[in-house]
Amino acid sequence: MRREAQNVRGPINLIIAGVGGQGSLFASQVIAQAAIQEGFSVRIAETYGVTQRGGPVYSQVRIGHQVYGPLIPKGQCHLILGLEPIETLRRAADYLAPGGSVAINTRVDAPLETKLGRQPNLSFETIQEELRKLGVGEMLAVDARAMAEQAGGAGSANMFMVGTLFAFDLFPLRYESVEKAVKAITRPRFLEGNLLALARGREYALSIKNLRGG
Amino acid sequence: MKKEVLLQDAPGTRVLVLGNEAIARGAMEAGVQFATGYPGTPSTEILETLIEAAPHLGFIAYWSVNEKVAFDAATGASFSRARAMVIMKHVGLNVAADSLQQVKLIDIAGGFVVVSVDDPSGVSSNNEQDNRWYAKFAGLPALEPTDLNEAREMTRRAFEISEELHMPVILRSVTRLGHMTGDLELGRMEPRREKPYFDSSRAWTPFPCLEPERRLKDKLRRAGEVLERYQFDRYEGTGHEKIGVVGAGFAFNYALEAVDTLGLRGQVALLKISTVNPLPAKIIRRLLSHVNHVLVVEDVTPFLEEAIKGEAQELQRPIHIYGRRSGALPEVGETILDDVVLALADIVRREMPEIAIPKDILPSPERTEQAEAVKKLIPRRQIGFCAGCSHRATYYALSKALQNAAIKDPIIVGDIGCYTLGFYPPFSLLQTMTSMGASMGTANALAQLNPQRKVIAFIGDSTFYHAGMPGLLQIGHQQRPVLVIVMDNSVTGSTGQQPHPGTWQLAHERTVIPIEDIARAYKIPHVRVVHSFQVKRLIRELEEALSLDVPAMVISRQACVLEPGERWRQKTIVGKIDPARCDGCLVCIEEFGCPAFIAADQDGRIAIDPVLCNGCASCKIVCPQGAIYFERLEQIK
Repeated sequence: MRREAQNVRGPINLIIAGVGGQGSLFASQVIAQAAIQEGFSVRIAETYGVTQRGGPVYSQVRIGHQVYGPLIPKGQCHLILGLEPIETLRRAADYLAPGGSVAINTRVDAPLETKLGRQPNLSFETIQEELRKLGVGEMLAVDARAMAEQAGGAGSANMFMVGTLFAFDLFPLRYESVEKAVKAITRPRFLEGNLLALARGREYALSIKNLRGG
Repeated sequence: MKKEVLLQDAPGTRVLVLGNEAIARGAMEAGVQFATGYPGTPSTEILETLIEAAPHLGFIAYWSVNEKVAFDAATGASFSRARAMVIMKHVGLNVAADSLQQVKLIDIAGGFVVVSVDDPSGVSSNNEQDNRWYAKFAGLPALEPTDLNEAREMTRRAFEISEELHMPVILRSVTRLGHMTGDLELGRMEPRREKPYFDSSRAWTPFPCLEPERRLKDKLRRAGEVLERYQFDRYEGTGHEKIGVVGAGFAFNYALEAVDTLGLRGQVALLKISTVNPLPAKIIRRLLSHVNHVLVVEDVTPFLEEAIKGEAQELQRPIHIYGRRSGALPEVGETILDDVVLALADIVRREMPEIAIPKDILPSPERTEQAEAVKKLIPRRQIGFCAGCSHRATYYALSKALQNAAIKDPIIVGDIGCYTLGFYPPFSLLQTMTSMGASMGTANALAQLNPQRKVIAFIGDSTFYHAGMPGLLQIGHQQRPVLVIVMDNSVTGSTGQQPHPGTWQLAHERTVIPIEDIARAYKIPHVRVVHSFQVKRLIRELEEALSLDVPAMVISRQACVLEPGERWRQKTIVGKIDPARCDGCLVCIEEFGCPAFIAADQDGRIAIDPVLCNGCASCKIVCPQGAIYFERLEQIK
């Protein structure tokens, strides 16, 4: 059944947060491709060039019937797809709307200075707690890499996470169009793994009965 | 071709593209015959797309060694009656500016479009430079698109305009548009039938310049009339509004969205300005004839705000102008919607108190406080070299060589590229970085003025060909004892692996000119080429070069790990750490800092993430306990 966006004025604002190299760019392209297939207008803002190298990256994705610029105003992101927990919290702090939803990978990728003990580490539990303080609504947390490894490859963790978005009522896209988008833009060598991870992500998400309060 | 659909003559089809691809498509629709440029974030994908499309559509497109060479080539193409395009990032136009300032005075033949993509906030640059001033400085027509469809259409029209006026036209874009993905509607392809031909019966030079300078002024006046026909600028109002909101190019989106967010549509006048030069005075005056307050939204400098202020003064109407100059919007940094909403809300509250502004437009003070508290907890994450990057191995080798040679106080000069990250931990080696190729000239003077200290200059391969060569020529000519270390990964790496004259992977189809051959021709007496991952040898070679009192060059060579296929060529082995030997000393992270090193357990022992490790094996010598070893990938699976 088609899920309809509820209680959202204007475009659906979605942020994909992660670390350079995790495939956040690819995930945003998949979502955008699916959205235009469904007749939506899309705008995505993202980071290219040296700024990607192992640093924090995030894509701002806006889907709607009329979208102007790609930038999401502070406190107006309806849904965050968190490929890495520290980066998810970083974006949630500024952008998460009151009661906004979060799908989050539990595997923390500690920055260099944290590994050296020069700055504090954040455990996943702390991050989850801080997200609650920020007023997160629904939250889905999963070790995406472990799940993707079972599905056929750690490289498809981003697609597993995209699959989990189907747990959220306000995610406006149909599974078929996302699947079609994955087929359209994945290189043949990774296609099978990506499709499997996407399907597993959705299955996993729909098996979770209650997302409230994480 | 990554996006085949960009080649199709399928008007009306909706496709998902980058802003940069929309500009490329516009050029294809206009039947571009010649395109060149130099890679630079945020402009790269324009020419990248055109180079992919060129063999399919039958036009010429290639990467030039720098922007001036590119500009001069596009000039030759335009002189040959071909539709020509030259593409660069904002600072690239500085390199080509000498040519721009001459060619503007010549009656060109084929449509000539100069694309400059500015980088507000300097996301991928050393400065935020507003190239609209170049249009004014040179006296050339310039346009700036607001969205993807306009980017396509405007690019296409820019060729026509250039041909009608016989002068180059500048197209100014910004990072946010260039790297925005969205839906584009394709237009009709109109290939050029006219064959290129150079007319030798006339002179193609501005000399003597007074007459051409006079003609330029006339042409620019005519440009105003020509551009008006295209209606790139739009006024939305009734002639009675007290407040006007003006947006320049892409920033118009923020003007529009701010007006909608505050529920002011129909209550304030809107003006979209996409003609940069000459400014469309008529439509600006239409707005100024009735408003008392104008908010100007634009990226980088108050270019438009100042011009509007000038117009208002001429009209002798007491109009308050708000923008980057007035302080209503931040003076530096990219325009963001939140700032525009605040600035506009402020004006409306003061001047139209009868209008109720929605309360929840921005996060509450409590929520903002909460956000700040959370942000204090979040660790910094600096950018760093990829796993399997040769730059890490080279910087590590230099650190060791400096220690071994007991050089205490070296002067280390950097240049532009991924290796600029050598400024940051764990290496923190670089001390200067300015413009492309500047390391050579700067190091030359530093060595002359600091004769007791060792001067080392880092330069990337692409940067060397771009603007490093003249500086090395000077070093060779003056025999200054600088040690030049070339970070040679055989492509323009930071912008996405574009080829250059040293790209040996393409030796089967073009003439490769190795850097070592150039250095020898420039009389650098000591030149060595070392494989970056042979770290021990690299340390030895660097130690030797450091001991010399003559110009020296060490080329550290290894393909960029991001080059298509390279990762998989490298990744036949994967690193492991013997937990029995690892004593948790953290030297590997402290001195090498590869992202594949991860915390293994509570005792502080380290492991190598087999997914992140790309098998370059350059970390092997880093561990004091000898705990790092490598296994064939299949053994691990």
